[in-house]
Amino acid sequence: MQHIPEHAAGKVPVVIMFHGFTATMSFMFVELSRLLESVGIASVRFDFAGSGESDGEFIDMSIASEVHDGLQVLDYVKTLDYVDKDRIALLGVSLGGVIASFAAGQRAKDIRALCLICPAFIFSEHLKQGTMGHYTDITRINETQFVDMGGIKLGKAFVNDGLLRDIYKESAPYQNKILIMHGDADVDVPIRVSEEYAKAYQDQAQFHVVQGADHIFMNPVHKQELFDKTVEFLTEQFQL
Amino acid sequence: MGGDLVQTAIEWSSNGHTLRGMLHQPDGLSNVPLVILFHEYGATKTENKFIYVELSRILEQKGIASIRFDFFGSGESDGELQQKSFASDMVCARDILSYAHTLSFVDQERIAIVGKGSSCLIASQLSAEMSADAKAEGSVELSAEGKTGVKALVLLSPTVKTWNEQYSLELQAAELELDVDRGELAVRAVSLIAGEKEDNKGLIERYQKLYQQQLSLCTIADVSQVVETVNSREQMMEHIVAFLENHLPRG
Repeated sequence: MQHIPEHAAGKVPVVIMFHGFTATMSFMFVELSRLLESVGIASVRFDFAGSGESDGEFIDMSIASEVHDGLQVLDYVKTLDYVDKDRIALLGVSLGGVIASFAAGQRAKDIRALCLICPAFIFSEHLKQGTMGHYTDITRINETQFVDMGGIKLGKAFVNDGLLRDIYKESAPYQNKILIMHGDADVDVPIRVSEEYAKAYQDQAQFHVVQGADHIFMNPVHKQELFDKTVEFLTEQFQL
Repeated sequence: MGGDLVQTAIEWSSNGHTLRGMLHQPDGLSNVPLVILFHEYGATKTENKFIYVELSRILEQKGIASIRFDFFGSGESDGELQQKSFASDMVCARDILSYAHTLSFVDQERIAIVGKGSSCLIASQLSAEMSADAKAEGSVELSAEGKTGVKALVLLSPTVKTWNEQYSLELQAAELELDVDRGELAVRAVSLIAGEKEDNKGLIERYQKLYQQQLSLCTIADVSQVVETVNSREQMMEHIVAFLENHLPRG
């Protein structure tokens, strides 16, 4: 889905949005895309392969497949006539934040700004402990082929690929600004994960804590704060 | 049958707003049955863990068309969630059924509705209205033949509880308005799927009284407002598909 500002003169900046685990391009992004459109920023939302309306099976999804999907979309966005190719940002929520960070690492020169919302970098820690999330045992996945993630099959490709990932090494080539936002009441991905990430990126990263917010920003007040901060950061990075 | 899956993005105007959805049309077939899928409060046309996408694609392979759409205030459709109400959902439901009536490849006598959670009441109300319309037009005989426009109904984990207090109150009021006399005529077959752990016994009894012999109850462990296991998901899918194939037989 593309959102193109109606009255923009010339080429416009664009944000590519990466959704999270078992989510779709609709979650939170519809509202944010319409808000960005109103301030002159285009956006492109999509469903990763195996999620939402896109083809593919969820069991085949992995970090590698999602980074690949994200980069394909980036290449597509660069072909769009209305897009200012020097002002492309990536924005990701939860696992989408991880994918955005890795994709920015692979295409550092293409990405002007990076927005990470409660990024799920904890996945690496969990997998090394033999779990996925708080409770799912993944230690026998090469025998069982999948684990039951509450009614959906998570395949061994995700686990085996995820175990090999080095978060900081893969993200490091990206040198522009990063906005990290996280709720301090997030029980799915604890805020310490973002604190550590922000610390590693020092002056490159802005870290914004949304007081009282959970992982999905259910409270409209928290969501609005998230949106306001995102618009502020992107308008600054895009020099609007 | 055979061929590629055909999934088309659709949009139409409802009460001055644009609604957006997805139409699944079995490749190259005409005079096919149609299932309209209503998502629950706070969800979208894909539903939790994409169960509606999976269901639509299975039905398509069985020669059954389907429409999934976002209610006003949800997903890709116009409006904000805060603007949504039971009344606005009913407007959307009536309009999507009217839209379905314009589809030339659909057998208008074989239309079914699937409701999930809070939208079960919307599905029930809509089918009752269709029945009442048929009765008012003197076509009660037609209604008794199950040709009112809604042939079968699937109610998946019905509830009057949502995380929005105002919307929950509206659902409770709508439940009280369900008319037993109209309910009997509304549809020919109803499948109510409920989880073993769910706290919706009162509502299930209400539906049993409403639809009497037309209703069959299917209880599945680990099904609730969200599907909790792969096994329960597969059981639920098999049951829904078998029910719809049985009650929307090929012409």
